[in-house]
Amino acid sequence: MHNALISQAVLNELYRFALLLTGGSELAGRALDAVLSDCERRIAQIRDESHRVAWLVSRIRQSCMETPAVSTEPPQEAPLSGRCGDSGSADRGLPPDTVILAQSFHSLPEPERSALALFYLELFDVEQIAQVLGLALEELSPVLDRGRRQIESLLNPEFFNS
Amino acid sequence: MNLKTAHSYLPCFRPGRPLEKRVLKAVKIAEGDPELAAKLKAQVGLDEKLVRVIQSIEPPPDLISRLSALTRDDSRGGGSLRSQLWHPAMLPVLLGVVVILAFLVWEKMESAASFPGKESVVRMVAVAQGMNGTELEPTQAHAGQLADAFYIRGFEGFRIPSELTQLPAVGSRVFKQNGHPVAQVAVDPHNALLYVFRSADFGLQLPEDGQWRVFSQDGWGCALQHSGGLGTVIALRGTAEEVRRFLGSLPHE
Repeated sequence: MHNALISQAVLNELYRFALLLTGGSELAGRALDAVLSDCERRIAQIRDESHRVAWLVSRIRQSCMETPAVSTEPPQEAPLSGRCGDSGSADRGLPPDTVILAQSFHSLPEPERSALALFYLELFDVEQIAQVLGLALEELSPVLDRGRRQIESLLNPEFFNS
Repeated sequence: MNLKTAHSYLPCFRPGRPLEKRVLKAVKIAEGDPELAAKLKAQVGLDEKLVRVIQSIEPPPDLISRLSALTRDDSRGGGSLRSQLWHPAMLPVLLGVVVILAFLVWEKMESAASFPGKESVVRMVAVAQGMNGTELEPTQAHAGQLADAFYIRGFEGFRIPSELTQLPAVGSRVFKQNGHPVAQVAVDPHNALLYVFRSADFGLQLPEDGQWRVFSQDGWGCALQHSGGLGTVIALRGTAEEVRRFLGSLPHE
């Protein structure tokens, strides 16, 4: 009988995190796969689940930040396959809203991109997010504010009306 | 908290999530100010839309099954060979072999009045001579709860004998000796210091039998145990006899 070191719900959230950071499902899958394969043995050594998740998030973030340079083109106008390596073909199965949102997130600078992505996931509360990103709460707050304004400007009104 | 400060904390607000107390206060203030309330409402509206899309993202099934396989904890299950070895019929045989081997090795070690790797252990304990306490990061955890903290600081697989796990730790750190990491914990009773290191790093060769080897060195009473590839040393200012008394005071399963 096997025990899960990471629950299914957390794995889903880690995938969403990687998708928002890389902007493409292919790259997100690859980043997650690489980190978990690389850390398979080490994960089991971190006994506390929240520490384990925080550590994994840091590794995934690091891995995703090594993905190709961010395009400055507006996400809606850019060809999907041209932004993140060969992610386009794999993104065909994703709903258009998801693709647009993921690519918009990918266009954000750091730390806005990671902060906002973590803020919208169910992994951590704000204090933990600040800790994971190495920020004080007072520093995280303006980062989230800027991130929101930037993502809103990247998404056109149809996104919000759909 | 004034309006300006409240405004600065509002971006951290997300309904339905645990609220940090400053954020909670900011939200309460915003509720009483029309301008801030409108801003907060717009923020919540944007967040709701984005969260809805994000939470609808489902990982590809093949990826999730691959990842689930990677994140199974096999360490608790035990393999088939292990199960066979622990079969009741095998236990007396194993026990006999272990006792004979342990006796032979122990006798050899005792006759030599030393053991390979002792020199490194002595040097490790001597490190404490030059310490003033500020080198250690304060902690309030039990010694057995420091595995994650040590892992983060670069010492993987920290583990101590069960009789030490409940000792209240007051400080900890990882230092390097000959380029190899050593986990050090200061525990409350008797101002004792624990050292945990990988035996292979320091050439320690002792039977992994859970026995404490007691010796004294330069005013330190020391006890060493070798288990699971790790050496654990207890060192306290005093004699070998004082260490024996300390060991006797520890809970035994």
